[in-house]
Amino acid sequence: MQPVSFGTSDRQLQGIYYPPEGDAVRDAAVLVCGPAPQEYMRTHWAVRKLAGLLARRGFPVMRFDYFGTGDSAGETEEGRPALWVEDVKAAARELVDVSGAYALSAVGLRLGASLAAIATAGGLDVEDLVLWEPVVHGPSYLEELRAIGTRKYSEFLFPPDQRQGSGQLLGYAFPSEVEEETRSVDLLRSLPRARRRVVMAVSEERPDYMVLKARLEEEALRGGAGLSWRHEPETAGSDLDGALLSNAILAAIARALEEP
Amino acid sequence: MRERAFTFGTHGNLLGVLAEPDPADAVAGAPAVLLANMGVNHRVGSNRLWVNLSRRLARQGFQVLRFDLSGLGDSPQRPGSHGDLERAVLDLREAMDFVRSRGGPRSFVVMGLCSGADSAHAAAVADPRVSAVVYVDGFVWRTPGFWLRYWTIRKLEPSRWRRYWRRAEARRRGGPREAGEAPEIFQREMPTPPQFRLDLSALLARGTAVLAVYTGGLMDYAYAGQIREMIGPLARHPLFATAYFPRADHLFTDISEHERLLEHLCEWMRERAPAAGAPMVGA
Repeated sequence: MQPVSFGTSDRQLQGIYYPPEGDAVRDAAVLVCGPAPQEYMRTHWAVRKLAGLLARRGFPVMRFDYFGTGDSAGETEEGRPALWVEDVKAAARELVDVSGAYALSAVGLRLGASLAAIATAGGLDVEDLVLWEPVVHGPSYLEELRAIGTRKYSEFLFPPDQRQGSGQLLGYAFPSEVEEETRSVDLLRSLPRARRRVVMAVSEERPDYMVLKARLEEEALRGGAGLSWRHEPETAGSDLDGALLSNAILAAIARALEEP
Repeated sequence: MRERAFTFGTHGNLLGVLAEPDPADAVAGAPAVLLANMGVNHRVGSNRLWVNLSRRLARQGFQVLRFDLSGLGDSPQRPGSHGDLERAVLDLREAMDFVRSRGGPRSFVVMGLCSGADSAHAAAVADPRVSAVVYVDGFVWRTPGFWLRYWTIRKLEPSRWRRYWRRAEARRRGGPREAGEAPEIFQREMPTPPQFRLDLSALLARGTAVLAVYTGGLMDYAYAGQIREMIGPLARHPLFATAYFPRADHLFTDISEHERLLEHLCEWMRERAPAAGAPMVGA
């Protein structure tokens, strides 16, 4: 595990590189793209576990923080999805440099899946693209985050204002331009691309996942990337508990990337 | 201000980010600040609290190391069999050694939130290099004043009744919720009240400054002066200070409360940090 810094001096990004373990090093390095700030902390453990698991299976792996999130430079209110797509591309270049790998695959969790997908639609070349509980439709995602907030804040004596325009969401500054960019996420319009396969790794068969799956199957029939559907129901329940504690879905993702 | 990530420690297993001031801003002889995990949350801190605090303090002239204790966040477990607090003390000592080995200061301020306060306290008691310690929602026990308010004033506060209805509504609606937090993860290893008073007395006598911050989100803390009831005359010691954020939840989720905490901690450091290697000064 090696900390890495990359990007420009005014937009320095922090990542952690996991060199491949064992003798059988895989051809493709794997870039792990985490979720947006609101889901960053509670998924950190799962993302870290996935990176370690893949490295033990022989993949060079890197995970990183987008600008304005985690350890990377920038104030929280400066980060926004359009910039984060560029961060995905910068991280991909860094990983190829650091690892010396011949090819690249990407795994994205929640909004990170959408950012990676948008990056591939915009030209990022990947062998496999794993969409792990992807955000398919921005407006539904925002509704979901606010519903989580309503539930969480029911325990607070003085609940924060999280309405649109309040400038914050689930503990983070959330300016209106970030809200608008997030709202515009639509994976059915920015259809993910991969040389080999798009993998959907999900814990439940939600309607938005099923619509995306159908679109990706159509694309596969037209000669696009193949689709691998990995449905791993979580025993912890149908919410994001699974993302925090899951092993099954991590193992499913690793198997999908290992398959020839 | 510049930041760099490192792995360090006897076993090389600790991962942290060191924020350093621009040489022109550095406060000569000032202690370095150590920030470790809040519960199981990694070094970034809930709502990015530790990152924001690190950068502000570094701009103010302090070196700040935020890092993951072994077995948490990105730091793998250290070899050997140790209890949580014993491990935390070893890790915090290795963090001090690391900062010192890079030419950093000889004294340290350790800050902790929630169970992070337990680690900060244990390290402060064990290592005289700790010249100040900050507990955010750290040690608490119910006092007669707590119970008096619990059965009277608190029952009349509109915010509590509004919360009652919000909880009932949330239960009725169901829907998505935050990731579950297994209760066993949050078992605290707090000293008993007499032991805490003894520890505090020794720390203050040693010249270690103490700041105890509490929020309205801590169920067992009912009013600003409860800490004075808990520790008695020690609360009047010039090296002891306290602050109460009644509108904040435990993790300072509201961005205005988050900002108020950052300002308070930065001001406390500015006022009490030595200009040239002297011990921390009282209020």
